[in-house]
Amino acid sequence: MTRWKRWTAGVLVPSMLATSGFGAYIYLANKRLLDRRY
Amino acid sequence: MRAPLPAAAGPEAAQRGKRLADLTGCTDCHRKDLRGGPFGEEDWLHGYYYASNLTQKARTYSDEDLARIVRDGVRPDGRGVFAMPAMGFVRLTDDEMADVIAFIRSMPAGGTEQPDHFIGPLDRWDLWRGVVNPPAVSYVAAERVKDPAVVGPEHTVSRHLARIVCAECHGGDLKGNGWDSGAPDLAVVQAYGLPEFTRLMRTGIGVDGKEHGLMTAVARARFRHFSDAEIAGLHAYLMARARAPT
Repeated sequence: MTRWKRWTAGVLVPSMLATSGFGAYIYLANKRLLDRRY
Repeated sequence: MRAPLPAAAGPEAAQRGKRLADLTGCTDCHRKDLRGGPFGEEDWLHGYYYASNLTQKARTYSDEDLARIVRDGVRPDGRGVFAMPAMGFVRLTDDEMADVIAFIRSMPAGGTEQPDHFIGPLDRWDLWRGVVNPPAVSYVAAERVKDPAVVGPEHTVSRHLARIVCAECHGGDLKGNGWDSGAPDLAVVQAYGLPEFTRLMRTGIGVDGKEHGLMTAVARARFRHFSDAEIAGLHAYLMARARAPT
């Protein structure tokens, strides 16, 4: 495995997954707050 | 459940309501013609926010719907309103609320519905962290029980003006814990004589001769609707409050 493939698999992809997952979590937490019925 | 609002109609009620709408900032965000529009200097990172077209909303909302939005921060569909500060609105009396609604209904319907807010990623992050104000409905109950000190019957009218106008930024108890986290406790008025206070309220220039951010903008947009007597009354009340033993 070349260096750039190792970097992609070990750093880039996990970082992107973590960032997008955290972003989705924030979005859903906001949505829950804003869509709550009173 | 609140009692029904008193009936307020006619040009006098609408005129009183317009004045209240100018002082409390309705016409700041919703515009003079109440047809709404974008507000704030925002970008896609923070978000784009729109004050709704009240002339269109008023066609479908009942008086009770409008009052619930303003004083309780809840829309007719049950969701909380977002980005509309209710710090002062919670203390509007039934008669004042009826006057404001009479003003809204006196305006000719026109324009188009405004878009929904777009909350950008940075504001979503801040909302999650709790560093921007959440929907008003989540804080109106706590806000409603905060009140500024009572310092004598001669200050009743001015105290109420402070409750509904100054409270938005300075907090219901005027101790500097309202919508604007940088707004000070209004005990700061002790640095102001009446001429300096009048200049602040008319021009937004502080006792130090400088502009003071949001206070300056609000003074120029809203507080020019105060009469000289009201400014003098506010100054007298705030001075008495600042000097009262705690």
